[in-house]
Amino acid sequence: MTRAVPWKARFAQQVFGINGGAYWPMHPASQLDYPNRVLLGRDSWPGIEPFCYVSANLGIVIGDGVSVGRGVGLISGNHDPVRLTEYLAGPPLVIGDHCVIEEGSMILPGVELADFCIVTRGSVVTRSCLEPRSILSGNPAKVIGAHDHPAPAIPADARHGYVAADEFADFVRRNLRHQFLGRFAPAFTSPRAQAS
Amino acid sequence: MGRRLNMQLSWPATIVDRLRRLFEAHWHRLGGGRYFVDTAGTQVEVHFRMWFAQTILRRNADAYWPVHPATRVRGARFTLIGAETSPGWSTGCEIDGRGGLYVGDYTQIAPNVRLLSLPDGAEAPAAPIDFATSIGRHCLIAMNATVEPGVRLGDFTIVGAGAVVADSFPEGYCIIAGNPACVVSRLDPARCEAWQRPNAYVGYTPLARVAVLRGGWIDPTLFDRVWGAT
Repeated sequence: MTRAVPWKARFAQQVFGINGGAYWPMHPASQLDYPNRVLLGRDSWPGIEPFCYVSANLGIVIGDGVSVGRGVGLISGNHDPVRLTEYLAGPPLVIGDHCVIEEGSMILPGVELADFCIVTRGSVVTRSCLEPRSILSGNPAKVIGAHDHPAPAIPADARHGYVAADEFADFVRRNLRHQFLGRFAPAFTSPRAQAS
Repeated sequence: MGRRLNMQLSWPATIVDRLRRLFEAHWHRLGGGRYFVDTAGTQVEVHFRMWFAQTILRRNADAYWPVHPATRVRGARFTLIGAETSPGWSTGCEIDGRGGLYVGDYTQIAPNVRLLSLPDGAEAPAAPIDFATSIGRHCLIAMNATVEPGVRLGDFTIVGAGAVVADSFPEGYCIIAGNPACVVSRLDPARCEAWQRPNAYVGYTPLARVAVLRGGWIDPTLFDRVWGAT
């Protein structure tokens, strides 16, 4: 049983067009850049809580069942410090399956989080954490422990935002900018390879 | 939702979007300003949603620059902004200018930033004579950062994500981060590029006509400190 889309988010996106380019539900008070550079897993809606900032100018890859809290920043591009209008090239931001990103935390560019990680409130994740099931905390974030909580199962009919799972490979192939998806791009560029 | 194999807007949103573009392109013919046209593509472009929230719904109506409907601006009369910078253009910011706040030209401000100029619980002065908090030109304030009252940041300061800036860094050319913020690295002033835009806007006003804000929108004393006797 997936969560129902809140009417406010749906109305804002589909009638007023606020964050209307996103293919997943987003709160109207969240901010989004470049929705076609986000590769989203099933059952994860970054920005459904207000005051989030999903800045996907260099690509964001999000796994299944990621829960993203209020005021979370997923920042994929570093500004060039001496010329602030430009960005430094880098790999996409990767968040593994079933991660929990608590409110007010920020994931900075080039970071890769393993599966089942928990980022506690207000942390600033500056480095990758490739150890699954770890808990990150602090500014800058450090691994402060590990957890063994079971993740809720993802139902069979879970969608990638508004896109049904069986259509998602087709959707990605047609719409997303593959050059920003890093090592995740080949799965979608090879013809009909991943389509179920 | 039916099949969604493209990233087009839904049909109601498409109609709203067309109407919005039509309005933005022709608003100056109906007696409005040219800000929709002139700021398009700049780092603080005026969106119809912000204009509507401020002008029609009167949310943050005293701010003379585009402000996101989800941010809160207080004391806009004592907040001075430079060219092409708009504190609160992003979502969730809290801009408190009641004690006098200056934000320099071309400074970029991320979502959820708090720029404070009055200590917690302090009584707001009727008219501050100087800026309690001032931020230089070409700075970048990253997401969720807090600039405490009484802080002075020089030009080309980059405030990292989640930083709480409690001390002044008036020399500029540095990257500061952490809680409390300290210098992480320094920038080479020779390499920093002070880019400018020929037809820059101060909020909704062209830079050449900034004097019209004096008195009505901005406190005259603070205005003269920044813009001189123009």
